[in-house]
Amino acid sequence: MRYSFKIGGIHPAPNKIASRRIEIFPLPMRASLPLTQHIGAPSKAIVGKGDKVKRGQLIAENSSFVSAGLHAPVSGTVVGVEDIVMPWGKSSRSIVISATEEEHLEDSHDREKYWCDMIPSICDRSLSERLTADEIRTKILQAGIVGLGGATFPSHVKLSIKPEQKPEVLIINACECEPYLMCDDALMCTYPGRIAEGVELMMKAGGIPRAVIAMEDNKPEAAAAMREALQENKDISLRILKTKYPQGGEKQLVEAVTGRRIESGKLPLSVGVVVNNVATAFAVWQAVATSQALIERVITVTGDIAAGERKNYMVAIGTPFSSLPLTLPGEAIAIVGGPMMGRSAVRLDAPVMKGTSGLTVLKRPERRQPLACVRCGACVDACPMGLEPYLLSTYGRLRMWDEARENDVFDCLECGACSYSCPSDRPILDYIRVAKQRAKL
Amino acid sequence: MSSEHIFIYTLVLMGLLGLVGAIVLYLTAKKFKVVEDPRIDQIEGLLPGANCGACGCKGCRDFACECVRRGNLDGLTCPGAGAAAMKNIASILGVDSVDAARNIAVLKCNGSCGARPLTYEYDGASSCAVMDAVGCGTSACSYGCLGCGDCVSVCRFGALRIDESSKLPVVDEKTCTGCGVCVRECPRHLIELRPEGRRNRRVWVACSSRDKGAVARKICSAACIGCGKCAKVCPFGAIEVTDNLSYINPDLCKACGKCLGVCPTGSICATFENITKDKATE
Amino acid sequence: MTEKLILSTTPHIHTSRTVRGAMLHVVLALLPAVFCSLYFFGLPALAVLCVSVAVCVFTEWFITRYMLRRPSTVGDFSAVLTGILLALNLPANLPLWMVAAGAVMALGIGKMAFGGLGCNIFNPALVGRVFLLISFPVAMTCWPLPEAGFGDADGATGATVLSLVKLGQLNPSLLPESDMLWGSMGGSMGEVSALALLAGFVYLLFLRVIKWQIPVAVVAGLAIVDVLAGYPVLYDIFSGGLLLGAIFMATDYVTSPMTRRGMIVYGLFIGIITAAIRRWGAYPEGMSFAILIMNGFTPLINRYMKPHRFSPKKKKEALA
Repeated sequence: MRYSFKIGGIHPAPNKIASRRIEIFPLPMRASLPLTQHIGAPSKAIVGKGDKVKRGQLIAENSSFVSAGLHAPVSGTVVGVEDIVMPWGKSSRSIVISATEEEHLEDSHDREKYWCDMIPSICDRSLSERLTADEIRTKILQAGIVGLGGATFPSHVKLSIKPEQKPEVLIINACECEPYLMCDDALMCTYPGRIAEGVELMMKAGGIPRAVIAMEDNKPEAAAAMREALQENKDISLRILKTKYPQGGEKQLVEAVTGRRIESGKLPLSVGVVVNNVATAFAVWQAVATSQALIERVITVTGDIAAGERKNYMVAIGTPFSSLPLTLPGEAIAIVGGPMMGRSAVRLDAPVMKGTSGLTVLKRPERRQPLACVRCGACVDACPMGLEPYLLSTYGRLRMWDEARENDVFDCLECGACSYSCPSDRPILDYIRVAKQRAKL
Repeated sequence: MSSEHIFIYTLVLMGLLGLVGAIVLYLTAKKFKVVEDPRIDQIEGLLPGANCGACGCKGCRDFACECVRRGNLDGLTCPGAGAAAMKNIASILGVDSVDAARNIAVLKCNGSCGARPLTYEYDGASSCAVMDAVGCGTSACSYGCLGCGDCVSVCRFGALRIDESSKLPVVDEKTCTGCGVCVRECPRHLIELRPEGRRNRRVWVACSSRDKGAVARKICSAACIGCGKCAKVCPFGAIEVTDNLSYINPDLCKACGKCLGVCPTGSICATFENITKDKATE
Repeated sequence: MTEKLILSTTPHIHTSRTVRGAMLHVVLALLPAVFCSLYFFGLPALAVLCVSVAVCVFTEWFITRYMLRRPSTVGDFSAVLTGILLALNLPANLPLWMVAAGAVMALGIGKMAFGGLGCNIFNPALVGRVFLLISFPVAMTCWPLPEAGFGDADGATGATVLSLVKLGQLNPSLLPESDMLWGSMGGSMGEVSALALLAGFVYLLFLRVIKWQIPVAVVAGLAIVDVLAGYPVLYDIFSGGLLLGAIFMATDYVTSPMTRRGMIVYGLFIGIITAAIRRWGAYPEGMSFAILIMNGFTPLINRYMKPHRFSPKKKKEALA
């Protein structure tokens, strides 16, 4: 039997076509860091125009408990704290750092040494045994780590668990159910031992006795690598799930792994589960073992571009997308993230952020001309939350917020399975999203 | 039985049935009659019947009930009905009428197609709310009008339409009642209710961009660049510039039109010809 | 920069399934039944089929083009499908002008009057058929006897098995089931061969165009009444328009419920109503009426038969 969530789900073509090797991408000369890269209060800039910063130095601090700090990804001078246009065209307050040739060379040398010295496969448990939970949590907080799967929830908050909340199992989300994206796959193939160590550290920090690394069955290489790294580990197990979108959705994942269902509006902790992304585990290990803050991450550059350009890169956060080598196929959709939930970008001079898992470039599809809804029920079948997307979408379009609320519009996780499966090409999710926004008021 | 008989029987039977039904209806109507203040119906007749909700009540009927229940018009105005109708309502209630200034919706964006090139193409549901959630829209301005006409579709008085050439909504000041439904609908809060003004003279800044002057100018030639010239020239101190955006306080503005002449981008709009400027050029 | 980026809403990829594709698959699935009816009823059947499809398509085109003044929706093949389904519900020897009238009724009143595909409440083909059945009861219940081999079956006409049974002239338990399976018995064009219809059903299920719930529930509903009333079940299932209706008409997307639970309720009631009309009603066959009645209940079923929620509301209210 293959494990999976029970209701709905779709099977888009996986298209995992990028190379699995992680290439270290050169540091940028100029990095911009938006102060809002996470869920919660924006970080507060503690540097100003003209300040000198070193690579890895804290440049913006937590403004409240649910917030995260920012660190300089390159050494250089702060150009200013100004509005930078985000990929989707709206601006956001950011710290901009510019490096000189000299600083750039020095940083690059340090970075090269850092990655070369890393022994990827050994899983050394001494670290998590030596440190206390508080110490680990403080390190995570200081490193500004947020959930790297895309939701960007500050990790130290997630791991601040009181014993009476009885955490039973830590689920490491390595599903990567979005088509095209491969950054987690690549990371597991390359640094399986370090990830395992990161998981140990997270378990210790949260006081969680057991961990399960869950991935879809389309990643045999990653599964083999992780299995080898986990050989003698009794607390961490591997769970292979069916390839089905959205297997990596938090509620779906918890159901697939434990069989428990999180009630609407509740956190996984209500059923004794903590969910974290696999890349977050790696970042935790980096922060605790090597004292490197979250200043770089793996992103996948993929889609309808030349085969040689489809790669996984280790990039510094703040690097502009336009510096990545890729040729656009004429009229295209550039997506920050995967094609199901990623946001479409119109400006590539915007920076890579903490929650950026990739850049997917798709040839422009034929213009979607929505036809009448034939009430085929494909969206109802696809919805992983058991909602009626066609109905919610109509309520959203006709501004019937009360009815939308009565029909559980807030349970919608915006996975896009409804719009994907609609044979009439109706923008179902677009209007549900409007209903979700407006029904709150 | 001959056919005539059937005919007669049918007539008699139907007639009887009708009679019984009528009596029953009459008795029920008598018994269950609700004595309602006739003023409610009178007031409701004066209201526009659009159920827009601008008064804060659930609908026009509810507003009429509320008027009669309170017995006065304190805090109760129907912007849709207009001043004359409000006066009538006041006289029905036997209270003094309150003079409420008429408000008219104005669009705080002047980014017509000529001023603001459409740099991006959009592929999705044709709705401002959806487009705003996705990103900046079809132009690079993330503050300006998206032009999908969400405001037009919510206006119950038909006072808004999308202009063909500029692709911006246009307010028909005759039919606009200032109910404010469009104000709440616009995802970018571009519509503002401003008092009608003396002799129908209104001046407002038709831009909402908080981008820095140079950036805003690059995106749209009709953008407010926050230069502050208007604030300097205003004799009444009605203009203030915050976050690179100028705002004319309608309570202080006397609609003299001085600011119109000095605005370098023409982002200040008025409902009258700019006399000051003409004088200056003469 | 010659490259251009498009601002698009999520999700950015879409399934390759289309409404047009689904309609085409249903048309393909009907081909065995069409072939069988041509085989048994010959050229008149072909004429009925052609007239029905042509008039249906023309009516939709005419109405969209000249009355609604909007882009024609003929390209989605739903009019073609309605035409074929209507033809399969008619006797092969029906005068062609009646066929045309039925087709105009089906598309004009049954579909376009409601606003076109997706907006109609009742199955258009059945609206056409019921219109004809009520207007021309004699012509509609006088069936040519099937004659193998594409012959010119203008010879004998007779009543269907169902009406013979109804009139007490035939004992259903004496009928050989194989005849019904293969189709060598009287009836409307599409009712003759159960096997051809079942082949279409398997095809549609395999391609996931339709779900199994409705057809199975229809048969189950009919079987329940039959067992209770003591009628031979198999005879009832394979005779008349039950299979055609259950597989191709009741499963029409637009007029059937959205959820699987709803589909089962809908199907069961269709089966029960059909059996009730057949046993105790005035008509020998009740499938079309049963489907139309349940079409009317579809909005209600959609309202009360919600899909299984991931986190059901009941618990939420208990906590609140």
